[in-house]
Amino acid sequence: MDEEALIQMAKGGDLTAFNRLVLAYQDQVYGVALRVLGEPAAADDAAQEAFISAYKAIGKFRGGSFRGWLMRIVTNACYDELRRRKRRPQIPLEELNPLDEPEEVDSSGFLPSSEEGPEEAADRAELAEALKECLRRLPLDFRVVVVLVDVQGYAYKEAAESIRKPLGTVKSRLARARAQLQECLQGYRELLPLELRLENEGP
Amino acid sequence: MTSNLQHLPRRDLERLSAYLDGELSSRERESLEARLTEEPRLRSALSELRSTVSMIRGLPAARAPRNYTLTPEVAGIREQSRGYPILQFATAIAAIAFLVVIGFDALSAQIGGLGAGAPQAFAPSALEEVAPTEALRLLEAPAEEEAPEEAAPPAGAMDAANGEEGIAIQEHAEEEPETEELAEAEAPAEEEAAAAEEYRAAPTASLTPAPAPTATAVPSPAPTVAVATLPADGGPGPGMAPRTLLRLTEIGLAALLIALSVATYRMRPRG
Repeated sequence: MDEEALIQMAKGGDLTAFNRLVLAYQDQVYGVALRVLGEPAAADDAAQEAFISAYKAIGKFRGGSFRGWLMRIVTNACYDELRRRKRRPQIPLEELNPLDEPEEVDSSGFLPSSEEGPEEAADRAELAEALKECLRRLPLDFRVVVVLVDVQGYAYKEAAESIRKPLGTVKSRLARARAQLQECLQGYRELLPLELRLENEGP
Repeated sequence: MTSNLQHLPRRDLERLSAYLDGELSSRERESLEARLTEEPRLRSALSELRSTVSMIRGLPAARAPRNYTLTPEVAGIREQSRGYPILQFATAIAAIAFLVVIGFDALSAQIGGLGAGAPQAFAPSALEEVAPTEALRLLEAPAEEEAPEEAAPPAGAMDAANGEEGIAIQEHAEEEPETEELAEAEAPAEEEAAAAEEYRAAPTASLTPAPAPTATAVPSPAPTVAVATLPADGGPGPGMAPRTLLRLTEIGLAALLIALSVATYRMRPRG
């Protein structure tokens, strides 16, 4: 069944249809929440809240990109979660169970190749940690855009829909976020994978 | 070789960033590409930016640690729990109101002035003015519908008024010394002892029991007229003994409090 039909059924209160949409989007929703909040427990809460809110609000969905609409709800849930955690500070990041984040699925850049030794693997892990840390240091508005475009691969237009801002805002925030990330990552330069270092040396 | 992108003019930074994503118009792209061939600094910045972006894109994708599918209970319970604070507040208000009424009841019983003091202190503003005179009027009025202005004066004027009236009033006037002072509360209070269970069982019938003392005091035509007068007076207050009203309020508030407490308990947030 296609997405449009599922959306229509969910609008009519069909929870099963809605849950099929949940299954289709839960990785993206959780992924955005994790990268925006930087904390698996907070991301888990935000993702759950986002789907509950989405179910309640789906009657108001007026077409267009469902993913963009859903991401708007997720980013709102992330803002709410951050506010909530600010009011009631919980366990600091470092003390969270490290097993909370076992769900990393290696995709492109950091995919360990078969000939990679343990040292390279450790480098990659460190680089990933450095990136996460640099992401966390970004202002929230910048982080959201960089997560949508660079982590989730959204087009500017869809990202703009998700944050309800003009295209120019996405463009500007993204550029500044990338510049700040680059600066932050300079401290971790030596950990760059070889191919990225070579790329840097290019013309 | 590294360069700090932050030092780049904002517009150049944005153009380079959008160029990487293929989000420039063809004219902007051509213009930028022309500059790139001529400006090594811009080329270097583009290279920096590209490397940074590819690193971010290389971040492992996250997979949801569990399914976020909703159960009907989750959707339902969460929806209900939105009203939970309101329910909590209502319960608290009901509890306070109940305590206030109970407290007042105890206080008035202690004072013992069930006839005069209590109703005035208890009656809500509208009732306060009407209750004493109206209740008296009910005792005397049944036979003298045409003289309401004479009913208005307080107790002191009663004898004069009664003297002008017919047999029914004469009979009534004989009872006056006893009933006049007690009429408002004590007589019903006596009745109440016997009829309390009845009142509790049927609070809506509270209009009719109130005139009962009148019926005992005044002969035949009285009860029907008295009952007929009550609704015209605009509420249960005038005809109802404040003590009974107090009891009914207590019972009503207690029932409300119990219902609210149960509802609050059942709707409490779980997990």
